[in-house]
Amino acid sequence: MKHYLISLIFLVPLFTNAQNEYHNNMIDMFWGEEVVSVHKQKQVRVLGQIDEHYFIFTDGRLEKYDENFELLKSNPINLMYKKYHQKFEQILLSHEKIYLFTSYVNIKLKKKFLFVQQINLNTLTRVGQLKKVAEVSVKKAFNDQKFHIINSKTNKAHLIFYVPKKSKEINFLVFDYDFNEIWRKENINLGKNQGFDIEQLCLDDEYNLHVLGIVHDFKNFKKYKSYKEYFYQITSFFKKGAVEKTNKVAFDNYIIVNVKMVLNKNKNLLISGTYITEKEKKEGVLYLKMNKNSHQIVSQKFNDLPSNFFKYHIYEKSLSRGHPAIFDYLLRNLHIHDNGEVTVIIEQHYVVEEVEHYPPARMMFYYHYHYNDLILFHYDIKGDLIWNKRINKRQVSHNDGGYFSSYASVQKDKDIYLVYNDHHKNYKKKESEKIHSFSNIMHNGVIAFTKIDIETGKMVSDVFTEVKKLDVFIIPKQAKLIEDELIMLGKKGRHHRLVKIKPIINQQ
Amino acid sequence: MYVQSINNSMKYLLSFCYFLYLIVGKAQESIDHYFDDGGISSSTHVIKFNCFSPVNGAYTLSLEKFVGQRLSLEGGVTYLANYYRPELSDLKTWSNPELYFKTNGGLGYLTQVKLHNAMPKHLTLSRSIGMLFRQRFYELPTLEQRTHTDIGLIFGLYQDFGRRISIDYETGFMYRSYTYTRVVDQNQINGNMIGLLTIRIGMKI
Repeated sequence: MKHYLISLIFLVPLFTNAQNEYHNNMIDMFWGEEVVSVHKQKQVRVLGQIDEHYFIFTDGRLEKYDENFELLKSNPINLMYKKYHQKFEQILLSHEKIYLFTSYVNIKLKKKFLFVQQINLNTLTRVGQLKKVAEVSVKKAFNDQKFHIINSKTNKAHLIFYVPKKSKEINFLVFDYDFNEIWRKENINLGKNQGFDIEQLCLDDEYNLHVLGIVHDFKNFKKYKSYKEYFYQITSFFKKGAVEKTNKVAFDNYIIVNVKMVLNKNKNLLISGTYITEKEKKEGVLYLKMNKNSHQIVSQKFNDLPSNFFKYHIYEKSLSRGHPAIFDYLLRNLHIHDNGEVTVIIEQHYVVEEVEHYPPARMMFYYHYHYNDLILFHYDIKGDLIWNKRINKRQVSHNDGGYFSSYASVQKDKDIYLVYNDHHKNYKKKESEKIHSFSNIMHNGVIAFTKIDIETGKMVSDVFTEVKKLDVFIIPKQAKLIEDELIMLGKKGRHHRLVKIKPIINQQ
Repeated sequence: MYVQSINNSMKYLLSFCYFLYLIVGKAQESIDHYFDDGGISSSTHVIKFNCFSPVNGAYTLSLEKFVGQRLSLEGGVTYLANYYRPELSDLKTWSNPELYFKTNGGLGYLTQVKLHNAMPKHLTLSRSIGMLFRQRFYELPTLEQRTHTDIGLIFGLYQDFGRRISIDYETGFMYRSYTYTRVVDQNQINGNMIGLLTIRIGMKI
């Protein structure tokens, strides 16, 4: 009752701005009511859907919405256990339950403990026994020792892994859907006597874990310097960790810039990434399919691209980034289609640091977050590159971590939809004109989308609606894909509202 | 017979309660020991000692209590030794050291209320702002009774070291009023602004 009253005081739904629906012939967009909170929230995240209800987490507060995106309940998460104050670690929705992860550093025992506890979906409060799931030795009470939580694709299995500070050894703990421990491997060094950096992890529903990483000598290790100084290695743990299999992944003569690994429907491991050759400086994209049990390579293709394919916008050349442009592209998504073909999306992203000196002794640091062009690569089953497409996009923001930048993607049948914030002038300009950058200014912003036909690579870009009409920007990075619907949050200052984007099939 | 039956029932009931207590108690204990650190993290009281004030003859011991996460109240007592001399900016005293160097000692007390930017945590530096009120009573060899009444604004930094030890760095400014009680002219009142710079070592209890 107390929390309910606080919710009423702190969160005032603005019914005047109630639900809105927008349609065109490609996408349905549905906006919920706008909610105003007292504090400016920094972090907001869509957790997911349970039955007819949607749950979001905003700076320590859990909110529950109905199917029309109307706020039903809002409650702050209490992090106290008796008289002890715990630290928030993570919150996730899995198998129609919400789990809260908290940690506590016991100074006397010199250990950091990770706990999990369920959230009551009606009261939005912690319920049931607090369960310890992991622990790590720490030397100091104030530390940034992290626990990483990774889920299998269907959330049937969960992985918690951590690497203690200044240690080569990794700890893997695998849990079932309800966080009951299935197996654990503690203090293992996957690089044997050398260093090992985890690049990608894949957990399947049978509790098998696949780890792709770089084995290197600690001395003078620089990832992109020379392929001779390090190599990629894949290690798989089968039969609840009882069987371990390790193999070297040969990327000879290629410096791998970015890599992503997923499991496909045939339970093969699919690895894709970008590369540059050391001598000729040829750039390209790789495709590698391997059997997850034997690590035998099913197909491997290195698709070279024309020179200057990865380039900066014409007016950014003066930045002199000091390295080839390919290093500023990040592999974001790997869409596997029903016919086994794969579409990879990479995005140009980099941060420019600027220092201004104010004599006599004052300095100000400015960080400019650039999220620019998207490039899509489509491979056939064998890994041959069928087409590639570039979506011109320019998003620049300052000292905010690129909060409203980047994109969200959803796949529906033979189409991929990309949704992002953009500048309105980009949809009225001629092709020869420069691209205007989106930079969090309300009257300039539009919510744009691009639809790509995966068979032909044909693209259609359009404006969905103007930001000023909705009074919020969307946060693409926090989007949650629920089946084929994209649930996102729109936010501006203290206002936020939920939005659902649903692709329409069989349109004219 | 009836009484015996009741006794038996009571025995069963008590046994059941004890069994229940064991289960519940054990279940609760299994989590509690992860948090039990001897009360270090949950301690809200800190005993503080001013390290440098003994140099000028003042031994101050105080107790700070956190009320909630950000507000703290502090109270302390000061013993003034027979070599006590007031702080630096009391120019009148320092200009005639031979007159005031020796005192017959005295006593004092202080109260402080502070607002912290965060609950002090291990090895983190938290800032605070607060009000100080203190009085010191001492006697000179000339039997002159002196009273200092200080009221001021203080800015502090608080840092934890180890499991129980903390250090307070405080600076600020105060208005000091002097009351002289002499044989000839009684109850003279004078005052000036003085600065404050203290380093105090604390221990959580």
